[in-house]
Amino acid sequence: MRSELSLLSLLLTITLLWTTSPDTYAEIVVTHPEIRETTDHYMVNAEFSYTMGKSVVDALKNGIPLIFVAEYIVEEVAPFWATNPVIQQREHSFVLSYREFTNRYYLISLDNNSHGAYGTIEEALNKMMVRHDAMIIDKSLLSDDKSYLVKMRSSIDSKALPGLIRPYVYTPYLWPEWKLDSGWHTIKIEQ
Amino acid sequence: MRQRPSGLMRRTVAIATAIVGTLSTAIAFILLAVSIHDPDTIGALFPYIVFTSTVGLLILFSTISLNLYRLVRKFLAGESGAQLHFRFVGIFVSLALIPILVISLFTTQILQQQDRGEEEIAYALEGSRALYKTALNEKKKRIIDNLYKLESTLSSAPHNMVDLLLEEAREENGAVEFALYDFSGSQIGISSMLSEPGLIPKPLGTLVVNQIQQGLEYHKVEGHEDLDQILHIAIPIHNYYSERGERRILSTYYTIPKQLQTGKEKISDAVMRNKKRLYLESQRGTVHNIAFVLLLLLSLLSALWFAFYSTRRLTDPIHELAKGTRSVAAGIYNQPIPHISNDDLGFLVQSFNDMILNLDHTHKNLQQSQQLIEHQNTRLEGILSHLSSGVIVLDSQRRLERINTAACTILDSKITPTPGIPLGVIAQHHPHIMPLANSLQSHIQSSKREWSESLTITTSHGIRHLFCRGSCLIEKGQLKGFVVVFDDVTELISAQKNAAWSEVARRLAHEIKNPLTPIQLSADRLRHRYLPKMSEDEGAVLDRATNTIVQQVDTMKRMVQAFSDYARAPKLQITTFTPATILEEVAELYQAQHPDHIKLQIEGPLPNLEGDVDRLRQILNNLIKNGLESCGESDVADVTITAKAVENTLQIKICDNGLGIDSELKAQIFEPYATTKPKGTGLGLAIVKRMIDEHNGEISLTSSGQGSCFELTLPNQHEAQG
Repeated sequence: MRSELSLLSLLLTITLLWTTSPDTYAEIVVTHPEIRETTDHYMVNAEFSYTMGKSVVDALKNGIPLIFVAEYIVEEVAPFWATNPVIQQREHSFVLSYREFTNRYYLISLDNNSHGAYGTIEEALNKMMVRHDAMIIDKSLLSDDKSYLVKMRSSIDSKALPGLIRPYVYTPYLWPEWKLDSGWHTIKIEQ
Repeated sequence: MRQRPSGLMRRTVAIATAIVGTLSTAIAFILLAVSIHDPDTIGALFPYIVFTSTVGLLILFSTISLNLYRLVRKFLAGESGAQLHFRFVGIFVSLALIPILVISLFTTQILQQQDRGEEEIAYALEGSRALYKTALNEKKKRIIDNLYKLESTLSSAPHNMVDLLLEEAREENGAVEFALYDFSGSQIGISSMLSEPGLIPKPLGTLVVNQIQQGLEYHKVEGHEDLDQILHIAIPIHNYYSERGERRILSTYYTIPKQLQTGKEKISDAVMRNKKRLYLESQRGTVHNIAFVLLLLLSLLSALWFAFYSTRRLTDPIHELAKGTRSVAAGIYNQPIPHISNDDLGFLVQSFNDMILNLDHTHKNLQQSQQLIEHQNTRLEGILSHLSSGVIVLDSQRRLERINTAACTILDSKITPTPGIPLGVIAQHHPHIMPLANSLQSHIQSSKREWSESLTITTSHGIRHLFCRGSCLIEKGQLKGFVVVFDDVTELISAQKNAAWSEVARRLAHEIKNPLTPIQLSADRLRHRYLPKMSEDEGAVLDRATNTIVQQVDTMKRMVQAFSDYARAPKLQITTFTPATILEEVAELYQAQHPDHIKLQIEGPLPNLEGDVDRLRQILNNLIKNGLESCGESDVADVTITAKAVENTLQIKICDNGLGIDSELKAQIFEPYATTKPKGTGLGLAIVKRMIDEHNGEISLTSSGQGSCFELTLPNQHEAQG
């Protein structure tokens, strides 16, 4: 019995080592999230740090446009057994593409259709990084006797990807370079 | 059979694992088939494919590893069937792997044959770029030509007029920015639609300045965040005809012409579409490769598992058969092999079970037969041991097979049957039985089926007369051996002789005794009547003659009395007496006559004896008298009487130092008329023997050249003879 457990442990270790290879690493991290209060509003600011893996850049350079979505949700804090009701939500979407003819990266904001062309991917990603006043919360929507949370995350829109690329995004534990989801970052609104 | 809880749990876990593994593998196969058929679904199905495949592969891998581990352990332990199991697994795995690997090789080759259109795209892209550059160069030439036309104006324009002139020139030339710098790169003036002029004018880039200072023109397509690409052209300007003119640099930005821009975008779109197509093709290959690898692994491990399973199904009955064979070899016939299947192996197992059932039945019968034989042997041994007749059984090769206790007693030899040793060889170690062995030999050689013979052998008890009856043992017409039954008829012959002699003695006593007294009286009368009347000479003759008659008649009377005593067998008067007293009385009687020749030794206290006192006294008298007379008429021998108690008997030894008894006579010394004395009747010892027999005692003689020794053994308690 002990030898059988050892065998399983060995297999598990090999699997973990394979899935956490540092050469194929990518991530989206929420940095410097903050809520700024004005007289009538709460202004949500956020920065996202994007690190693209080689495979993602390869896909981009091969004509696969990537749509990054930044989501912001204001939730009322409900008891633990209930789902938090959503008070307000907003999305910012960017399409990042590449043209080999000009060797330039193009970033289009789907919110205001603004666009830009950049010589390097870092420039384009930096353009997406800072979101000033990404969400404006009207104080009239909030009650003083309740608690509220602001959740934010940025991820790649897997549904917009071609079907043959989606497996990478759906199984990020197998393809860490396709782990393009920051996960939800939560900030409590201090009233 | 009730299973132990741990065993039941293990079995349950094994069944559950097998079900989960089979379901996962099957679902993985189905999902893979669906996704290969419709690649668009692979995105949604992929997580499920990965999950089910992983579960299936893990279970399969664990099961195979466990099976392999157990098999290797069995193989190393040298368990029966492990080698066969190993070999079968090897064969099945090879049979499963070879086609899978061949198919894999070809499939991999097919998958690797992707569309090689990348080079064509690069070629088209290069051509498009060249074309684009050519068109752009033409545009640049024209722009540069136009810019040089402004050389004279701008080289000598005062600084305060520069901006105005640049504005006019920019609008006139359709540029997005006109800027004028001195020859070191410092800005003199600017008219731009790209950016608002700053408080601090931006100097021209060093690279541009250096190139201009070398007398070269600068032109480059640069990226712009909003306009995508813009054309940057800088030229040196100097008015050689005006003394006021100075060397300056004119830097201009133009947008890419719309036609070129549109063409570029179309080319770019086409290139990117093709690149995307190729990329997705390669991803399709990757996904197919993953699917193929999963399929391959699932197929491979399934085949391996099936190989183990099939082999176990195949070798389990063989293993059980081997175990059963070992059990049979160890003599265990009541452990049938569990019936596993209804195939050929099941038939073999069933046949084996039938066989061991038959063997068990036969073995039990054999055991019963053996027990019966042993019982019969024991019974036969008991019968033979209780037989008074001696029994000897020989095999067909005349080797001793069986001899009973009576035979050993009669032959006075402790013979044990030794396998393979003929009777003749045994006889060499036991000379007593040599006459019997020779007799058997001669009768066997004469090929008689049955025979009988009287034999005489000499044992430590003297000469024994045997009556033998022999026969051949024949079974189904074949000679299997010989059996010899013999009896010691010595006592019988002796009794017959005694009876005969008793009859003779009685008749002699009866017939002779009667006339003896008249003869004696007649002789006395003759002497008394005629002796006085006769002369002295004649009287002397008559006197001698009558004396002789009277003496001889006396002798005859004594002889007749002896005969009478021998023939007469008065009833025993059994009393309990002290044997020491009798011994002392008899010894004193003879010590009075021969004080120096009689010696009595009584060793230890003698128990009381039941018997006829008078007969015992007569026995002692006869033996002591014989002993005293054993030196002949002229001399008196020394007689030593020794008595002691041995177990429940009284042992008396009467030894003399006389002349002894010849060995020839010794064998028949106790028979009537056997005597060493010239005037003896030869009845004394015969009478002694008969009296001893009446007391259930024994008498034996040991004699040497220096005398004889009679040893009497009398039981302390008398038992009436039947």
